[in-house]
Amino acid sequence: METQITHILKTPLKIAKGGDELLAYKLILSAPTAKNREHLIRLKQTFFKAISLLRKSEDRPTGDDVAQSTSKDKEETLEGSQIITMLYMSGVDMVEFQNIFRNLLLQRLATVEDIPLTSYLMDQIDQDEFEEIIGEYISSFLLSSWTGILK
Amino acid sequence: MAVIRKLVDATLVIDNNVIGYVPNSLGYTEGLGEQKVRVQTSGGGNVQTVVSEDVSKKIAMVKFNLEPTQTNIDLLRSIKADLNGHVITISALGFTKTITGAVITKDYEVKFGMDEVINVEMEGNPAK
Repeated sequence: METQITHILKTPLKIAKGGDELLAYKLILSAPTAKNREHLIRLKQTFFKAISLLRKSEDRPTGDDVAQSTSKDKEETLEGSQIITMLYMSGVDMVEFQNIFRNLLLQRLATVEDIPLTSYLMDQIDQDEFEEIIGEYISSFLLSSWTGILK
Repeated sequence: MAVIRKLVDATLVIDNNVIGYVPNSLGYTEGLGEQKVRVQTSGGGNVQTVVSEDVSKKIAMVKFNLEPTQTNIDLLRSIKADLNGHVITISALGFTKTITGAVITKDYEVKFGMDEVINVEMEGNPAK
């Protein structure tokens, strides 16, 4: 399993490093550990709640679609953008979900130019791009273990 | 007629972290140095001004006060110890100034008391 992924920012961040200001494009995201359990548990709970809400809805894609698309038999997995869309469509509190995710990343799980991402730097990221990052993170590090439980 | 807003309550960022400071205590100098204007004459009452610049004064300064808390004292110690320089950004209402290579030059005094604050001065490259 990957322990790190790189996201290339569409708009660079202005960061302070070594007494100078520079533009950073590469955001390195690290896999969480049990140390981050408080945030992981809350994210997982919200994700399962979303699946449950989707299953109750006849018109929306079901949670089974999520489980099936991450089946080990298939090579494809859900894209980050699909995960975000699914969460939005389920009706779960996305403000809370994104705040939990934001606090997760602030636990030194995201760096730019070897500088830990701070709240100030995160505020510079465009909201749509931030959601893209959430989707990529879930897809890379969390989805397979979460959906494994659903099977 | 558009309202003109005075710049107050600026955000102070040091090395990518927002710093809480005592209100109305934050200020900076641009670091544009000092200039002197002298006059030369070509006679007959004709004079020209001659401007000279003291480049040794091209240092920006940032001043602010912090409350004497454990967190603030630890922060100041780490800033003071790192002589590689720091990046300070001051922003308010679309206005932004950045000072790079800044260090705490004086040994700040920590006083204990209900109304006491820590006076911090940092000097660095001219503001951008």
